Amino acid sequence: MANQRSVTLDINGKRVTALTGETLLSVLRREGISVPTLCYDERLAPHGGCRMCLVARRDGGQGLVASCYTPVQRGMVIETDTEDVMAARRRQLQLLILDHRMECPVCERSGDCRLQDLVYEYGIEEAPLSFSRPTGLHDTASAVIARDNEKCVLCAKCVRLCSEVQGIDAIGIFDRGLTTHVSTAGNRPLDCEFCGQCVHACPVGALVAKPFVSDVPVWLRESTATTCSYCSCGCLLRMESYEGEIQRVTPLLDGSPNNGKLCAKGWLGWDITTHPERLKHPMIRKDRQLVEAGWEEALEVTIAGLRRAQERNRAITGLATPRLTNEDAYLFQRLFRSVFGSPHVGAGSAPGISALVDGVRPAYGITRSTASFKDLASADAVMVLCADPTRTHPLIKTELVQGIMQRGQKLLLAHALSGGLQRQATIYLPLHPGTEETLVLGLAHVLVRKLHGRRDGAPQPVGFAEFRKGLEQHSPRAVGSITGLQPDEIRAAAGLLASVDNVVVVVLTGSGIPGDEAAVARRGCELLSLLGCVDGPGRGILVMGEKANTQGVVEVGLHPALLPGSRLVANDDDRAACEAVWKTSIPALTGWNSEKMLQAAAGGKVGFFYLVGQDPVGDWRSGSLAREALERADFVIVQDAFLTASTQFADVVLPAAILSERIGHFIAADGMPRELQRTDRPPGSILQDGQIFLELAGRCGAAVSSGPALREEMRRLVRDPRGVSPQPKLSPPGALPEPRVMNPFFLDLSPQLFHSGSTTMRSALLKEFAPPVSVLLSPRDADAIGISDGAMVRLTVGDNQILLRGHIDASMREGTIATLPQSLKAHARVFEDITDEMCWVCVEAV
Amino acid sequence: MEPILLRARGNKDALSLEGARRLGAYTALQKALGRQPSKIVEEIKRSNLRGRGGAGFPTGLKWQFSSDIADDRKYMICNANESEPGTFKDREIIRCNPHLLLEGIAIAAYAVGAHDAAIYVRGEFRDEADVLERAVAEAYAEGILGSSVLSSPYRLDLFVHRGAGAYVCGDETALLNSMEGKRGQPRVRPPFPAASGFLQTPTVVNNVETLSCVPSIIEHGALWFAKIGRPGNAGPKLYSVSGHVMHPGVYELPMGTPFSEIIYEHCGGLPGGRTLKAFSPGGASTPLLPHDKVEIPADFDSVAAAGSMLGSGGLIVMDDSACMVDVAKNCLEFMSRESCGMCSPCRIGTKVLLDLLSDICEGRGRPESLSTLEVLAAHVQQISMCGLGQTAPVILLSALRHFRSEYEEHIAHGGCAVCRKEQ
Repeated sequence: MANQRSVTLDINGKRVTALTGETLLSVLRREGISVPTLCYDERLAPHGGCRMCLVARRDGGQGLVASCYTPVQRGMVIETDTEDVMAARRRQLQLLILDHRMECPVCERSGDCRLQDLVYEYGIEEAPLSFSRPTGLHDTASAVIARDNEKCVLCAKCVRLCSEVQGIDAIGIFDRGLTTHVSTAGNRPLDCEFCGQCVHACPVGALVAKPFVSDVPVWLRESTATTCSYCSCGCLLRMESYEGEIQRVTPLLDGSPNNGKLCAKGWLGWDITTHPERLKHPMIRKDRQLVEAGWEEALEVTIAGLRRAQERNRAITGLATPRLTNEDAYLFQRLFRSVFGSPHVGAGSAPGISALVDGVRPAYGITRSTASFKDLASADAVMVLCADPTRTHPLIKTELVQGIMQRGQKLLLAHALSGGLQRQATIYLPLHPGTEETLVLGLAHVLVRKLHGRRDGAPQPVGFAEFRKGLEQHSPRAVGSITGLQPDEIRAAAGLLASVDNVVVVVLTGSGIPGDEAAVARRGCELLSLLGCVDGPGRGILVMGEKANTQGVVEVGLHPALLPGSRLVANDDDRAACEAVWKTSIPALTGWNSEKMLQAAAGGKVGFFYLVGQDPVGDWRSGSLAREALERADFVIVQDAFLTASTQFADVVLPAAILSERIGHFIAADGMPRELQRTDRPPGSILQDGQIFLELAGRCGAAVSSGPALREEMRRLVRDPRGVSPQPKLSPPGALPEPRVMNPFFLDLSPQLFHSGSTTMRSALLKEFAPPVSVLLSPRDADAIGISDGAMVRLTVGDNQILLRGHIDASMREGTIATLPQSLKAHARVFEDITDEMCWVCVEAV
Repeated sequence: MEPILLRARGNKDALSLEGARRLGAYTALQKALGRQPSKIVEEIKRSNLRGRGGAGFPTGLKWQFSSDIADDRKYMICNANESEPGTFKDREIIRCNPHLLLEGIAIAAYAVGAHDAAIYVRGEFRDEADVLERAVAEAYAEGILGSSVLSSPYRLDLFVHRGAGAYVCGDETALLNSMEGKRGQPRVRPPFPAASGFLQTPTVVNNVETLSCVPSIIEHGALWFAKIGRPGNAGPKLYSVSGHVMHPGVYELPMGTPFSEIIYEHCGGLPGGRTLKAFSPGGASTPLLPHDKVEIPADFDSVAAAGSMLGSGGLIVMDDSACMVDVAKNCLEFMSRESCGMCSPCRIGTKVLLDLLSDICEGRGRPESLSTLEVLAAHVQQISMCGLGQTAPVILLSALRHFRSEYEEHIAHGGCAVCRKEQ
């Protein structure tokens, strides 16, 4: 805070120094003085409702004051544990338990209840009063959250989090007097993002997560802190398990990057590990059928397949998911390069990798984001490109809501999708799908004139003159005609960026919209170069990969062009550095990217194709090429948790541990490491990916280190990505693209609130309240087409047609319909290949 | 004393702008616009005008805080959420002289440097809100409000906001929340409205009667005003009298008129020759005074010295037919219903007090009930967040102080002499 002065006050007879603007409570807690609270939450504006944080103010005759919102003042005399303070707190608790349905013995939160703790600590007994507690509303309609207003202490944390952090306002406080209660408008069933923030923050048992209702008391559960495996936000969470079964998932609060927040996927999407279709043992193909086998046999068959490919001198290719841990991803590329002797290894077309390697690297010379989540929080303005974080990266969304609501942060939102943060955005630019790069160049065009290319003191980036020249045709008018925006909107957006000191640009990948993520990331970087906001507090680029360890797999060299530590395969010195550690020579060639791998396989050139957590036939946009590739590859090994579209071509299927069954590390999108702890043991004979790689290496006679030796080896090769500074460089833009011809509807295939893809769709819990197979459309479009909620609609995509159930969703933009690619693929083989052109469709009533 | 605030009572003409002008409306505003805003603040300070909403805070000082803040987005808000039980004086001003209020608001806004103003009207005041909206429309049409007030360069916009019917919205921060479309519950302080009020802008909130005093001060001068009433308790005061008197109603008298004069001379005394038992000087949130305090002057300082508060001037008179347990119960019923529910001592505490009082009324009182009542009432008073909770138990506490024997009688015999007489 600006203009903070230091003041001294007297606390329990001790002189204490604090800063003006601080509250008494924060100073007391810093001094190690325990002050009970029920409604205080440091993420929220002070509320002052529970009156438990009372302390005695002895100067100025004010008596008892609520410390949570009373600012410190010079010369204050405060006492915290005198008889009047204790008596007031005891009376408060007595009142609270009068209005609280006391069913502690059977309450879900017994043993984990703030009120219970305080009642115990202060020795409260029930007051002998004939007080008539009103019967409260008990809402159990939603599949996930049950609300018992008779236990509610009205701390209002749920309501305030829903508004101030989640930006949803799904619940509010209704009525007055003793019948004051939390509810939804019109007492309708809760219909929200089911992020669970309200449940996590509830100090008592008023809000309960129905899926986590358990008959195992909290004190018998084993509690493990670990990292969420879904998106690249890297949220930390706590898993409580009992005899190997997950009992409850809660977010970590203090000091964690997610600060007590989770999204529906990270909160509820953990029942996949116990899915009945889970692969539990290896399988090998015998007489065209996949049959269960032991590990020995499966690995022998695999090695035989590998030997055949080597003997025939055919290519050996490998693709692994960026959900692997750093250790496992490192071992995979090491296995290929130093054991199999093949350069063709990578993470495929996983969203985010190209943005980092082909987007950030040409612009900054590094393969990481320059902004952290802290920078995101402290930026004056944030520009979000390509998607809405509500759907792709929910933690980013909550950071932005907090920034806007609590710090007046400016948000510039540019994407073609519906819903999400539009209400909160300072400027919302609903551009045509896939025109983000053009928009950013249009902004650069305006900024170059406005700022004359640089901020005071900032050096002009390399390549400025050519860049400026190439921008000439990107006038707001020209860019407007391609993006579908008004020239004034573009000028206003550029004006906003020019008017502040600290800008963060966020590129969200994995939304499935058309366009080149690398180009958008690169132009985003260049825009920051122009603004002088490449790096530093509150500045920088933030590329959000789709999967949890997108940043990590790049750092450990799971990329055909990159070795561990962002070294180049094509660079002799870089290669030599790895060879020295691995004590073996590695191929000097840059490996094939995933498209080349598939093409080579389809052309009959691949002898051994190793897929780890990747399902190119079922998941990738180019499904038919993948099908052909796997059909023609001599030997296909798939390592996954389930049978997939790709396993039908596999010679060997190996069962792998997923999510919370693994140990290791991630690097989240903010460049910071995260730790995974194993919370439940996988069923059957499942192994973690890295163990399988080590087994294979061993069978090839290679000595690959594991355990502490592996960590030491990685320490030598993988550098801290934050150690290298960005070197900004501008590259001249090409010609303006041709404006697109628009079909009536844009088909939005980006992740939905509760489903990001094949993994979440296996969660029974997520599916229960959010059936994923449907088409969402706006009320007005539904009207125009003449369909009611739940009716079938016919989608015409190119020459193909498909029938899907239509659902009316008020958050959808007109002219846009949404579904998941998996829904299309599940319905018709004709949608095996999803192309940019397919984003334009016709919709009609059946 | 010639009526000042109610000078147009009975004269329907005053409702129209034309009629109000014939009675002299907006001449003070004209005069004010010709002076420096700071001079007007000085004038109000010299007049000793104190807030008529209940707290009696010096109005000039409040304006000074606001005019010291350099911000071109300031709000002047008139609190017309008159909901205090026994108080109905602001309603009278609005009903009979809306332009007086508008003029007062305009002068106040000009003085503090606000270009936007609003009147927050109690939800149940439907007719009064209509009257105000008509007056505002006329004032706009005649150039009294708008981009050029009375042809001066000063702009003032004003709107009428209708509340939804909540006592707690009389608290200025709850009022601001309500105006912003939020739930009507108080805000934590700091920040105070003077620094960050309506939509986070510096805001002055003044009561209807306070603002209605302003034109006459500008017109006749601070000295003239200060000479009405008693030192430090200046000006005309509206007393709304209800309860056991012959002629309940609103009376405009010099501040400091003794309660005895108000009750016995102006209101015609108590009906049926009954005797005065107690009175609440300023509505349901001011402590009761027993009959022997009836001679004190009805002004801020004298009532405070006697152990109560002048409050809004909503004088409630009780004769010997009033059961003091019932009086306290009636009060708590209101307070517990109107508690916004935000803080627990008020939400739960007032209801527990009410239940205890019901027990005593209905013969279920226990000997320890009185000490429980006292301890809990003090708790609610001390640690509630806003004025509602802090004053909710004061009638009860004062009744216990002055009429304890009635409570004891109730507990010992299941009722008191008064209750038995009624049966």
